[in-house]
Amino acid sequence: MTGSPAAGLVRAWVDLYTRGLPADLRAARRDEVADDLWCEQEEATERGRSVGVDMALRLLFGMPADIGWRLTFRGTPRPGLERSLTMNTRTLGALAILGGLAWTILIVLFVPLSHGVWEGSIGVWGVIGTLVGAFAFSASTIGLAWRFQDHIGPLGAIGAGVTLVGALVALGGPVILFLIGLTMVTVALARIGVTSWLVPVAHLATTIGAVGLWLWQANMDLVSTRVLYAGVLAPFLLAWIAMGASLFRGLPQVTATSG
Amino acid sequence: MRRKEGSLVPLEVSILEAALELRSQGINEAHGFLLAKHIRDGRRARRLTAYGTLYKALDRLERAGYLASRWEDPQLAADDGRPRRRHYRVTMSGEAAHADALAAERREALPRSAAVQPS
Repeated sequence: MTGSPAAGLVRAWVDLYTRGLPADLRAARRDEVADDLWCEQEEATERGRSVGVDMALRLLFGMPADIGWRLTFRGTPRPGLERSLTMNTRTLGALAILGGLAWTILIVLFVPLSHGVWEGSIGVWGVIGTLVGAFAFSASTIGLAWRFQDHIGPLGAIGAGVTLVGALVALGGPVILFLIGLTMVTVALARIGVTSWLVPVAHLATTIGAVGLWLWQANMDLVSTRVLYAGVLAPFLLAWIAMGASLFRGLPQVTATSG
Repeated sequence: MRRKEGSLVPLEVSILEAALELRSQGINEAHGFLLAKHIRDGRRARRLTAYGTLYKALDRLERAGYLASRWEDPQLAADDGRPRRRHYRVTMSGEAAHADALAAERREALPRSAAVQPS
């Protein structure tokens, strides 16, 4: 393995422009370039010279050809997508339903009980429900992002990371970051046809509503505000339950392609 | 760069030439870096061909049937502690395409050299 920063850049670039290609084709290009980098480093070591600048220039001058090569695969079918839909997809669907139901129950209880959901004798169940929901949403989202990593592109990959951080923040604070991460992932999944576009649209609606409430500094001591909050979260929760049911049954038809 | 269907760009000619020269030296198959190194040394160039340019050209030559490739036994790579390696060899049609390209180059060069010849 060649560990120089320039070699890292080359590998990152290969990783970027081969996203969305069938896994075998992607691995072939990655391995071929990795071997080239290894040989180049070996030769430089033998000659006792640094190779970083040469690697960077080889990377730079080859970028137009890489992009041209990548564009020749636009619109080609991706058999890996269908192959990856196995029993694990059902598990991810079950997690999505679990998360959706857990948080729906919490939100329904939150309207009359306010923060009492997480306090007193009932509070234990409130905390467990929050944790179960956060875990289930995160596991399902990151699981889907992982399964379709060759297809979802940078948006989905970054979204998965934001979701993970957002889930931790949501345990003791606002859920906005969590919602943004989930929205990014679901947009990426909708682009490749794994979910309906209604899912990211519902996420976006909830995210905008949640940001609005946060900016407004809504007073959650009022029942009317809590009803509004529940209404804002409803599209998000319903979308997850629906998506989970869809994944559990199998998968929606793969329709779209992404570059 | 636009080119006629089936025609070779200079880099592709160089790759075929490098593979044929290596074969004449007893190296029947060559990986990407070795081909790039041979081209660089032959041209006395300072740098190797860019990654994207090189592997796109190799891909095109293989699709055209001028090169054939195989992946080496992964155990060999593991034993050497390096990534797995793809070996290319020139096919019969690759040899013919290379010969055609050289002949075309000569035909193009002849009128030019004739034009500068003193009469």
